[in-house]
Amino acid sequence: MPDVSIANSLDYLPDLLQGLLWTLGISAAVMVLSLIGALFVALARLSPWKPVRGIALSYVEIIRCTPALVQLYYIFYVLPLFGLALPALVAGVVAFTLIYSAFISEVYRAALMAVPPTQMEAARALGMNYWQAMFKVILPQAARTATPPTVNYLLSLIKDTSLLSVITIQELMFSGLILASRTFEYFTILTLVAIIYFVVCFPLTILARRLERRFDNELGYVNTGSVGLSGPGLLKRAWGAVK
Amino acid sequence: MTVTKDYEKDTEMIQVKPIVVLEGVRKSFGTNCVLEHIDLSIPRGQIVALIGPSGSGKTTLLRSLNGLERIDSGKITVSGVVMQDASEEKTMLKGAALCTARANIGFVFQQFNLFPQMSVLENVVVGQVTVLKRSKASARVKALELLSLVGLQHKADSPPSQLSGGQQQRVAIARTLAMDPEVILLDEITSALDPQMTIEVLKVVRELGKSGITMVLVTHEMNFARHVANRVVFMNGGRIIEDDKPERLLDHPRQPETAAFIHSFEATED
Repeated sequence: MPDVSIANSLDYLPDLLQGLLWTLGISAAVMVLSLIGALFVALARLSPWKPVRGIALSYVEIIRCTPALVQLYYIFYVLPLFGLALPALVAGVVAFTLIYSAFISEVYRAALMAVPPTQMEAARALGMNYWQAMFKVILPQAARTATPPTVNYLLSLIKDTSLLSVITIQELMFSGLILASRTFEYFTILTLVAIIYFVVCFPLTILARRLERRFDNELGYVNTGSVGLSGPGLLKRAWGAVK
Repeated sequence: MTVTKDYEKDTEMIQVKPIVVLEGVRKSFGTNCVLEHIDLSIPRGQIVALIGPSGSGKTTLLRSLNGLERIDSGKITVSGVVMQDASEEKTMLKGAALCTARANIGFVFQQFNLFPQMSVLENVVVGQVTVLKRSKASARVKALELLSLVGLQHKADSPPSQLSGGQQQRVAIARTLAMDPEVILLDEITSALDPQMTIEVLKVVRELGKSGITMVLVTHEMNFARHVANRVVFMNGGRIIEDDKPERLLDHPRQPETAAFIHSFEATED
């Protein structure tokens, strides 16, 4: 059993927290860019124009079906061979923005498709034009459906940025590795790294769960009336009967 | 059209002029013909019940009146506005003109289709503010008035999901009335409701009928057609088979098809 020294741990903390700042900063930048990028990808996926749909689908599938690590290496080490050399930080942000735009676009798309088409009809029947219906009726509902899974992606993004250690970015993981290779205190340092990740990520899982519960109640698909009940409503009623 | 016409005659003309006119309307989904040459003219203030078996084209007809469904040929005019004209060059009302026309034609859906993310009050306010550009304050006053008309002012701040089906449908009616439409289309509005809720919704519609608004309703409630409508149109296979006063059509149908349909209904009601 290797020993863990609390005193040493305190020595390591400043370096690790410095790394954490990079982790959080990069995650925040990627998240903002991906939330916007995903919107365009989702719109392209739902486009009435077939080539646009095709391109968007290929992009999403290529990202989904190749490992993030490969994509990261590719952008950092292969693109320079074609004359496009990006600094490590830029390469990392670009790579993760491409990855998370693809994943989150699928969340958006699913959320838009989960809004019953009759909602659009009801809005149009009132006399709203397409964009009014979209902004007043459809998007607010889609946003509620999309938020919990998006928070989950934010969570995995924070952890995924540890991959950036392979392209020399001194985020939390790489800071830990540098310290460990210098002191050989792998056990202490990697435990600390894990604890820091956990402390940052755990509240997000709680947030995701809370949002999910709240939005479920809010939407709880009311427009199905007493004849047909969709998923959440049906489960809720079934549970009520059991209790 | 004569240009010189004295004023009184002109206003008389407008009153006699029907508010909903369908001329030679046809519509098919693929090879399935759902509307076959429909001619129908509805005077202002009339309450028309469309009845007929499932798949007879009633709902498609209703939906084509406000442009939710596109017709293949014929022409539809509602309160003087040509909603769609597929007779010669195919035209469908578009953009702002379509929105204005739709605000004037209320539509109440079978499944209510309230907006779940908004409170009951907001459901009745949103159309007034976005489409009619009313101020939020005046829209709220109007919405509360209408909610009390349908007996739901105490639910104004609730989310629709906390309401029963019958209550939701009454909110949907209030949402439609908030736009001050000249015509209201009601598409099987009680089909998703149990008998008790059906009674509460029908009570509201009956009151509405007394206000003189023009209504076209698709219904399976024969008693409702009898007591609220002043005209019943029986459709089958995409055609209008019989069109008459309720008591005549329901009690003494002239067409054997109508008789068979009404008979089948009486059989299931027993």
